[in-house]
Amino acid sequence: MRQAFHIFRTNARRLWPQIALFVVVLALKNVGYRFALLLLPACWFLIAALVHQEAIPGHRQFWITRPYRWTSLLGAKVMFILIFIHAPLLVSDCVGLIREGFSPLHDVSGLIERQALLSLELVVPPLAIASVTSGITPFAGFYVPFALFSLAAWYGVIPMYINPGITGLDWLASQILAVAAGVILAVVIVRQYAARHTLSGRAGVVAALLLPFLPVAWNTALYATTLAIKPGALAPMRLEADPGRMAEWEGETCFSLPVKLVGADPSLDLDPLGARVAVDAPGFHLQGGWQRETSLRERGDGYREKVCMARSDYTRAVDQSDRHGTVAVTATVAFAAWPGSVQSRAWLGRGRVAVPGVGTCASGPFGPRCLTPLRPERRGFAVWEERGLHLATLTYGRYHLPFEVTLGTSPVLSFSPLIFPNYNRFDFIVGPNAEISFSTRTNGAIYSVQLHYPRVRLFAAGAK
Amino acid sequence: MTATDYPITCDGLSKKYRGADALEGLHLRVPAGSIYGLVGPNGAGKTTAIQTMMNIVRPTRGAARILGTDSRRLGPDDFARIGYVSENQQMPDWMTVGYFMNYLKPFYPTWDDALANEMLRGFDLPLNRNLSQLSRGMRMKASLASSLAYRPKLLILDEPFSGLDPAVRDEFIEGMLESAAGGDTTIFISSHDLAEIESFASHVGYLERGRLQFSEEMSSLTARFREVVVTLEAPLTELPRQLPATWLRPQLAASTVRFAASDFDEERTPAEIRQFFAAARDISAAPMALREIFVALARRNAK
Repeated sequence: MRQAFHIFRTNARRLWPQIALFVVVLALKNVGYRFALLLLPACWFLIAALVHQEAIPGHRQFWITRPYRWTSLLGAKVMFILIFIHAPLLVSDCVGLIREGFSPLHDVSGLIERQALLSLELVVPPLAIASVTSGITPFAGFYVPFALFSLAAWYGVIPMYINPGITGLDWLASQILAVAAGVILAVVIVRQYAARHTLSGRAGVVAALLLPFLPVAWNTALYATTLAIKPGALAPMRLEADPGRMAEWEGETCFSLPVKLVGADPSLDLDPLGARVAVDAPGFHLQGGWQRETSLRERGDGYREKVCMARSDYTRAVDQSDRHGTVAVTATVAFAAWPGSVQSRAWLGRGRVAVPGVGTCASGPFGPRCLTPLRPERRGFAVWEERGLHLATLTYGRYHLPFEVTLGTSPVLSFSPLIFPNYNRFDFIVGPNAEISFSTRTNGAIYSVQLHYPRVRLFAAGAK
Repeated sequence: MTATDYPITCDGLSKKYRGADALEGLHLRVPAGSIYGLVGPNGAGKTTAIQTMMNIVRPTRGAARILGTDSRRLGPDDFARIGYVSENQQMPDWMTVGYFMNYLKPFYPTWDDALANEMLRGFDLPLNRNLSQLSRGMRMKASLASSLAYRPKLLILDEPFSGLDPAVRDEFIEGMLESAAGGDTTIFISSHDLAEIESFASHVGYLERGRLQFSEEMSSLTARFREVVVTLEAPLTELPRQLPATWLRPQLAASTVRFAASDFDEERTPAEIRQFFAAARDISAAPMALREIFVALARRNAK
């Protein structure tokens, strides 16, 4: 322990400029959340500099022939990270909460869990990469492609990583992969410090960094799990193609499928999750991926699923349609039903108000804004049967609200796709003096049903 | 044989880099208290041998025991008794000399402040200057001072003299020998500077192309090697065939034959010479410098 503290002090003395830079970036993050984007490189390069003080690969470092205990060396690095990275992050979170009127003591477990999750993102990967590299240049060689690839995947530049929009149990896949990657990286770190197995360590790091990007059909696989819940068991609510309406092509590449909902309990909140659509015409079969429902929702007698396809697919469909310009469409439509209960209501537009059980809401330049601490993502999931319903937990993103926010009857479920979402801030925009209701939604049921539309008109009759 | 008798033992120590043998079956015993010079041309495998002994690289085959511990298992307790100085070693350049010494002190239970200060003064090292600002010679001296201040049982030096000017080199050697003389430190030093090694080494080993050609006491080596000059009664046109293998690089110039005898014996060698050269009028044998010995060995091996 004494040796670890000795190394720690020396590292801290050497790296004070990098520490200062990290703290400044962290402070800026509280000023404007977009500065949070700088946090990743600031943190990664601080950790790289820390580890490279006693670089592990190589034959020339003075420390490898000195009586360093690997446990002390690793312990010193961990001590440094706890004191100069995690502690400031924790303080920053607490300051953010206090500034918005929340007590950090209110959600201690959430704060700690957040530190653990941040560790997976901000600490473990750079620590592992730095442990298998000898300097900042090879470290950047790992970091830059990884960062670019991550951003490309995150923003959907790479088609295979476009989020299909099925929230279902996707989070489980990402958690499994993230935890597996974290475990591999942790093993690499310990092996490097204990025995300096750099070659295999590098292979491990590459494998772990690529793991979350594996083109495994997790979404489909997990969604198939939810589909295994037999729709028939979910009676008395039914979803069926609406025979009273003609399905029509709406625009160039989108059309809406009329869906009729029968026997729905009016107290249920319904969230269409999406549809998987196949288009058939003589000599033509097009199997689409999951399409996210795009808010064309009409309560009461049914709603429409809006489905879009690529222009090239659309052109092919038109070419292959019959002489009446119609095709057959088979759609697997999925939606979640939530037994909601209104928890509280608030009128906004009158300055800052406290909403019981929610937090503080206030009008802002772009509309009212509510601030509330989010709960960390749930660990594990369950599908079970209760009172005839098959229930499953559903989460949205890394953190989820402890309640659902609804504006009128439409749920507000958007999260900014930032790498570092401002976790204690949930922004949404409504008109002036809008009534917003906050309701709890714990367990919901996922429904899915296959619908067949034998004649979907692609365009005005006779136009072909 | 114990670790006390031989602080370094190597048995078949081998190391390959990308299929090429950098070190091949090194068998070595370094007696306690000796100053062992491992010499050989550049690329002979000296640094590889030392790095394998220090567990900086892992051997492909064979094993080395350093102070009784398998080199692959050298740990902090072992390194606390070993001093290591290498021309290639990276230093924490941002530290001042004083900070560097103070930083290392807690790592060594046997650190001797008085000795450290004495060496810093003796080497005339500026305490407040960063290591990055020191000349190569000063850096080597700082490295040596930091490796002797805890009175190591074994001091391993890898090419410590290369690039040092003669004055600094003498100072370095003097400091090393003075510090080692007080205790029971064994010194293992690699170098291609034969003249320097000759001046203080008690044992010497010659490594070439990864193989140890010989390893023995310096006194025995210099005793058995002689530059022999045979003056004949009449000139010869060619040397006899089947000359003893221990006669290295025999040369004929009219009526004079020269060679390096690698196992010279006052009585046996002249008798052997007369067997091949019955008309030998005069035989003279002069001691050889270490450099001459290695040149003779290198030429023989180059054939």
